[in-house]
Amino acid sequence: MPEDSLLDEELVQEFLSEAQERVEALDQLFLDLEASPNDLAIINSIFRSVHTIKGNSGFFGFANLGGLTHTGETLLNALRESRVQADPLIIDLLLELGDAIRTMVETVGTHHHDGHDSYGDLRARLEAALPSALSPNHGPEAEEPAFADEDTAPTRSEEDELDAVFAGAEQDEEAALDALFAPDEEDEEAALDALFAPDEEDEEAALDALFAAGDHHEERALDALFAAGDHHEERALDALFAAGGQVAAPSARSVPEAPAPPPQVPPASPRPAAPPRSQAPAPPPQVPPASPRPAAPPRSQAPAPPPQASPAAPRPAASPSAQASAPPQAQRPAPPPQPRAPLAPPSQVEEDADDPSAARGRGGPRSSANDTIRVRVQLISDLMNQVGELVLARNQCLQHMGSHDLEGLERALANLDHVTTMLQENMMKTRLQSVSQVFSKFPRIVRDLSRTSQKEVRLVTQGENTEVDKTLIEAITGPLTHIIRNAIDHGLESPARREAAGKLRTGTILIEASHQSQHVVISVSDDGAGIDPERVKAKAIEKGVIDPAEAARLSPRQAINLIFAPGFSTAEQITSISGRGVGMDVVRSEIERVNGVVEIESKVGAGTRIELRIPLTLAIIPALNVRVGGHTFAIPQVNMVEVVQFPKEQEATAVQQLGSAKLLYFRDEWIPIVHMHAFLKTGTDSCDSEYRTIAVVRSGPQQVGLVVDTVVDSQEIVVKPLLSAIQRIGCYAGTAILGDGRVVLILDIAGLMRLSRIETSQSAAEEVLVRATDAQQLLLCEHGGQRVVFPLALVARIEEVGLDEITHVGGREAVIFGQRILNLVRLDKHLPIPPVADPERVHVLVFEFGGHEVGIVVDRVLESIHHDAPITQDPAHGPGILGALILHKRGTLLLDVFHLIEADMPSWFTMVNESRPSVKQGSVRVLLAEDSEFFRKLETSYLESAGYEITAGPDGAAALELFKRGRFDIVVTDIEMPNMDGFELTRQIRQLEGGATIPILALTSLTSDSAKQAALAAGVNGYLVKLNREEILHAVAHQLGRE
Amino acid sequence: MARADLIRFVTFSLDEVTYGVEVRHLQEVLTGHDISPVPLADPAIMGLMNLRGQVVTALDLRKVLHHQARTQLTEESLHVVVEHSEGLLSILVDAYGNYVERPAAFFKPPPSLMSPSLSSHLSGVCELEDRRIVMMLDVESFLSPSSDELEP
Repeated sequence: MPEDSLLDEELVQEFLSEAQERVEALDQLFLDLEASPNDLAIINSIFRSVHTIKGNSGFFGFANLGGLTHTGETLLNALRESRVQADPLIIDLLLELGDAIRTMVETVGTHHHDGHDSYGDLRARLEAALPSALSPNHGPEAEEPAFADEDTAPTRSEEDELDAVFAGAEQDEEAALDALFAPDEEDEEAALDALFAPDEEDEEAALDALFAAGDHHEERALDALFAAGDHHEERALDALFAAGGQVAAPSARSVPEAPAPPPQVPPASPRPAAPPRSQAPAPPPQVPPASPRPAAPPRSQAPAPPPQASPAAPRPAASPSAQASAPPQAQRPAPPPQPRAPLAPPSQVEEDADDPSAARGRGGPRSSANDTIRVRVQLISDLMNQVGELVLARNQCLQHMGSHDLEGLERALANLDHVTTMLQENMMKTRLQSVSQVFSKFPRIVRDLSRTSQKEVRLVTQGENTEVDKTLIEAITGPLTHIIRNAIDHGLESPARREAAGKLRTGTILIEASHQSQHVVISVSDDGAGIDPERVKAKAIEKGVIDPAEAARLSPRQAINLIFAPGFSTAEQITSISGRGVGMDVVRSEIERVNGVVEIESKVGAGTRIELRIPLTLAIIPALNVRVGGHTFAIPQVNMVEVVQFPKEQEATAVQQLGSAKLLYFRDEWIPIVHMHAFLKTGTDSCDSEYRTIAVVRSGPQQVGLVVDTVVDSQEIVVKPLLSAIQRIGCYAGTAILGDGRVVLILDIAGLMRLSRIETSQSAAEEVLVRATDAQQLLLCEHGGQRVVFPLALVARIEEVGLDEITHVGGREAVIFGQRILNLVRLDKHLPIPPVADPERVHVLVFEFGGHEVGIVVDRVLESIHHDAPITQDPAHGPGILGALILHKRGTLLLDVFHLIEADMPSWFTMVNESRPSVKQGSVRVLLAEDSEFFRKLETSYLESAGYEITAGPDGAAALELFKRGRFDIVVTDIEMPNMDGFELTRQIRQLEGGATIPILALTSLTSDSAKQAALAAGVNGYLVKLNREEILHAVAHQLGRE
Repeated sequence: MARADLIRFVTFSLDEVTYGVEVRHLQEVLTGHDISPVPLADPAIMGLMNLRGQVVTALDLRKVLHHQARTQLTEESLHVVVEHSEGLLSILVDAYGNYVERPAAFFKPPPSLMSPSLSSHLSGVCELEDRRIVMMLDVESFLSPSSDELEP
């Protein structure tokens, strides 16, 4: 039949959807057959599928497809008659046959012909597999395909079928017809009796009984029956049913073409025949197939339903009188239900032609059948009902508007709201498909891979009925396939190695799907060798993904996650299995593209588990709308943790600036915060609210606080895609239109974290130099059960490291960050406190001075607090401890950072000291005026460490008295003090004898320019920020040196 | 037959230059629309607007073509909405021109002397009956990664 012949598009679509469905089922059947080679039911199923495709391709004139299926059928017949055994070789052949059929069917989908390859080689091999006695008989037939004959006369096989229909001939190959005409099972017979007995009233029950009679093969049998006769179907069926004294058209396909036959039997309606509707004045003569609700709720204004209700419109037109003249459902013909839709498992929506083989990749040509979706008739009916109600609600609104009935309008709007919600929910359901569609491909993949890799693999799937949005099904197919390939190729060991390791020869791959709140979680676990972090590191270094220094500081978990890095593959050698140019990086990006998360867990020797966590649907998501710098942005609720709000004056306590990072203490954890107006560069913080609003969001385990101006509201938004030019920015997941018509951007939290982290690390070097000036803050930490505090302003930043990341450099403990070595100081080495209690991860407080960094290891950082408690001094405290204080009712040690560092690394410290201008120490006397006991101690310790002799007074007045009585080389004073402040002290000293020229340094946490001007005006020589030991010592030395 | 040789387009002007967009790319023209800006986006992207439930990306053609002048968004801003393979784009223009049909023979590739920053966004030039030259815009070239590289 020429390509441009009038192939009815609709028929081709039907052919495609059916053929593809059958091909999909074939793979599994072949594998089932391999598992139980003598199961006749399976062979029959396969046979029927192949036969149906053959029959259909005959109708459309697809000679290649017809020829190939014919040859296949011959082999299957031999199998059925046990003349051939279903050994693995035969299964291989059959699988190849299935692939060839699939390819041809896809070609039909795209080109409307079955391609140019007639698969002569495959056919020859199929024939060669036949027992020799059989081959000669069937050979010629194969040489001369049944479909070479292209005129409209029924082909030979079709004739056979017709023979079968009318004569029930023994040689009939259609099991369906066998079942119908030569029933060998009693219940089927009973069903048929019922069907053909005119006095049996409930024909539907009979049909139900027929379908229920056997296993699902009967279902297929009937499918086959409906499809078998092709264009002769109607005739055949007419004849078939006429014989029983009934005329029925179970195929919905024939309904529109043959209107108004005598009362119809709904095929396989899930419940007994619908009774005539009581409220309908004239019962429709035709009972709609698969009516979901036999009786629609009566409506007073309902007009007479159209005499011919459309098949999928079970409810009479629910239209108010305003529209009574034109029943809306009569104008809008409902799509005819698909023939087998009622037989589909409940709530299953199938896509007609999902990618049959994920290996082909997502970008490949798609058959046109891909654009269709299979929906249960019940669902369509529900939707129709709801659309009817929607129209009704609209009309009610209009009516009430016309009569200015505000109350009625309110009711109508409430109704409209309700209907819209229902409609939305049901509409979304049409997009849901079960993951079994994806899972069903895996047995075949696993079989092929286990054969080529010579491993023994058992595949277990769980939760196949979990439903996911159609678009997500497409998105996960590729990644899942790749993960499974990896699991077999890299994860599972060879049977010999497994036995040596004391495992079962057969490895297990478990694929599980389940719903967890708004997510679908799909995991692939294997009980293989697991991923060795060291090997991954070595490979990553070899591939140039990371450098050795980076590798050294990776935790095992981080190392394993390297497999997601672009350009990484753990394969010792690229095999045919996984050497497909896609890596786990593609898997991750594919999953992240649909807002999902990939997580991996692995234990060497025990196996690997990869978990995909994806949102249920992409199309409509609940989101929190926030305002930033005058713009509105949507945060997907899946990412939301909590919204934190506090008065702005409390910001100092709630948020800490630690080096480059701003941290929020949130639920016993420090989480980084991102100022959205700065991040998005939307100008200055335009928020004039008295409150600080932080949206705490998460992506995977990582939490981040987003500082926003205000929270607007929470809405369900319809996600629309972005142009790639905007997508590339990396922090937007999509866009949506809000109820008020405004367009909002949806934040991509994972991307935003990535982007903001990059920015942090870029500016980290500068920011280390930026010191917090709030000198009153202490950082509370715990170490070995002992609470310790450090002056927060001294802490450049805090790092979290795994204990395993700590290495030894030159006999010292150190952590390597990029190109830098951070020497570590252990508190337990110098202080009477036990070693690290928590062996997993520790915090490293990084201190910086003299251009060098040193880290002090603590078990964990608890929080940063205002210190207002008195600090007690006790000589029993050894060196390194400035004092003790009570915080949270617990004794806490105030540590002397510089002493600790000096004690730990004396040589390095000397080196730093020597860089200072040299002074004759020991002979230098320093007068220190400081009201804060804490700072007095701290500053004293700084200066003493440099060899100065210190005399300290608790305020300006005391210091002045000391100055008058003693002899000093330099004065160091605080500004803010009781009794007499630093300004006044300076002025007073300048007027004293010997005080005019003495160097005076002001130390303060006040950094404003006016304070500095005032201090200089009062006569100080230098103005320094407290706690910067290096700066203070340098300034003191500098002042003395100038003397 | 004769119609097949005609190229149909609409013209508009921006900074005194006449541009054309083939009718097959054209969706509609409209005035003044609320535009939500896209922080961090390419400066050529003015923002997103809601066109009857569809999200349209508004483009500053001046930035795309490296004009010096600034585009101000006003109530009277004129938009030419065109179809891009990734979605609808709205080009802000100074004034609408005409609907024109011209035989294909009057279409020429962009002159080689033209700056690449302009010619990379043109499908060609067309001479009108009054001998004026129309720059025919290549809608697909907008926002393509390669054109971004040309951005300063």
